Amino acid sequence: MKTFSQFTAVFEAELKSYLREVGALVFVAVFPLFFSTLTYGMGTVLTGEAAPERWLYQVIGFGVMTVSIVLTSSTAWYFRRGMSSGRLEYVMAAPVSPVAILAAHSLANVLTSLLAFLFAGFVGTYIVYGLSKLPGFLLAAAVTFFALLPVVGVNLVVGVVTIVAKEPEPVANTVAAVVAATSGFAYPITLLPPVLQLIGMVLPFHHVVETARAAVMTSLSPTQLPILLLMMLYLVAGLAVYRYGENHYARKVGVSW
Amino acid sequence: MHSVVCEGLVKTYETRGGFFSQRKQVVKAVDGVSLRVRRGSVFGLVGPNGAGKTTTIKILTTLLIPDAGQAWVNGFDVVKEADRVREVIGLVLAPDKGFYPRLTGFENLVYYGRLYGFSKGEAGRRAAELLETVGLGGDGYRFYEEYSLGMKAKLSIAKALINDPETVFLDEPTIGLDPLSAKKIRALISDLARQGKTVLLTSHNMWEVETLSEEVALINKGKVAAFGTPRELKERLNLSYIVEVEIIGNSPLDISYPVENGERGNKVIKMLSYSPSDTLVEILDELRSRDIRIGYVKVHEPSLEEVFAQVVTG
Ligand SMILES: Nc1ncnc2c1ncn2[C@@H]1O[C@H](COP(=O)(O)OP(=O)(O)OP(=O)(O)O)[C@@H](O)[C@H]1O
Ligand SMILES: [Mg+2]
Repeated sequence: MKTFSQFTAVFEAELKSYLREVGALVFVAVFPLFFSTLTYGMGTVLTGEAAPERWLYQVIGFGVMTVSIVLTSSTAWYFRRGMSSGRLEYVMAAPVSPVAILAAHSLANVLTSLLAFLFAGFVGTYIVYGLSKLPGFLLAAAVTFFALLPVVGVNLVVGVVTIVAKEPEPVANTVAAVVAATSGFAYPITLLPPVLQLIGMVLPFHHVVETARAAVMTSLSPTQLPILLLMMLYLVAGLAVYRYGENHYARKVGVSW
Repeated sequence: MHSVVCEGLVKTYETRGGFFSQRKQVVKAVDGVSLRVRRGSVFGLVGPNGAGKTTTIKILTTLLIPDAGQAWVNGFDVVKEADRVREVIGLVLAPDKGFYPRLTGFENLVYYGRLYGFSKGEAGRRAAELLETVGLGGDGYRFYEEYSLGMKAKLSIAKALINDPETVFLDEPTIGLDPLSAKKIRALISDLARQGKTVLLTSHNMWEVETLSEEVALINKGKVAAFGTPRELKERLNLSYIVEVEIIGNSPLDISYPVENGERGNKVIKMLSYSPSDTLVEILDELRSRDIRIGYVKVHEPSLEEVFAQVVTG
């Protein structure tokens, strides 16, 4: 009950704050459509083959990528703003569960950026397949939503690293670069050297985007759901890292600016 | 019964240089602080800038883990039972920080209320009540970013009380408040103690600390330099009262007290004394027995400010 109350408190506060800054939303809606067009165009020029499915492949890829990156970078900023505004200290001095806080914060962000993803994906799916695949796309959006849950675990780590680094940009950008390159948003990760493939397989983002694509373009395979469940371990691991960072760093040097 | 007990708290900070900088310095912010705060009392923590007051408060409110020493709030260990401590404390750290700028004062309070586990309705009820209490009744619907410094300070105090805490830590709660608002907050602080809550406050306003606090600790360079009731502190430092009696007309030359020229052109007797009432009676007796007319009579009490000055400058 108490955790629920904390969850809804953060969710509402973040959602209200977020909706009062629309710039980010427009970016999330517009970026995947146009960026995928750019990469698709480059690919088509190189191979000489035009295939609309490949464009949709990338629309979905960049859609999930944008949602994921907005999610991790907004977490870094959540901690940065929390530090400079003094909110983080007050939150830490209250008996709150960090998972509830970050899950709520992430949910508020995912919901808003998912709206934008819905827009981009809808446009893409309609152009390529017409109306027939739109239900598949709705399923993809729902799957994406749940598949992003393990990302809260990644965000717990991002939060701690932001506290240590005190700067959100390098943290968010580094994570974004690694995630963008290794998760197969624009190409299958089998193209990558084994080390990078491994990073892609271990992080949750690759599984999110593959599940979303399968839901629209082919069909969900039975192995995908267990993998997503396995990814929930990120929540446990993230919490452990957060707790460790809180006790061995945040409460050692303080979290004020 | 003590609400706050700490023993030998030590906290050092390592200053951060650049990434490759070798010039790392260690600042000993708190250096062996021991305190005891009686339940249901107001306790004043004073000391010069950088003395370690805020750092001590952060340790007591579980935000920092001390390098050495132990502390308990309402019987709970601030390191090992941090979550239990967090449930029973309220905290103001900076009067103008800690809120969402794009939420209203009311929404911000509801947010914190729910972090403490209150339902939305209950948090809303408490928020409205507290806005009224701190004098923000009409401004609850405005965005925090529009608040003046004093309004922000009031909201901070309301936030510190949202969970009906047993022990409240207020780091400079009346900074930036106009005299009437500050008076209102002081009344609120006294009320808290009357309700059995414990208040630990810091302030650079010595008069305020002296009027509010049952006991005071003066911290200097991370160490407790003086500790006791304001009265005890003055006595320990032998700070004496000054008794002043104005003489009207020409003063006889053989009077047995030191006489100075007063502001109104009359002579004024000025005596240092540890028992001002006795001294005053003595002087008045002598003057009356000699039919000397008396103007004003003034007893100047030594203030905490003088204690502060003496302890800090040594
Ligand atoms: N995060 C930090 N990193 C490094 N040094 C710090 C940090 N916070 C405080 N200090 C240092 O610790 C010492 C004590 O600071 P503290 O804020 O506790 O003092 P204070 O008594 O509250 O002072 P003031 O009256 O100015 O608020 C100071 O020397 C300060 O520079
Ligand atoms: Mg301070």
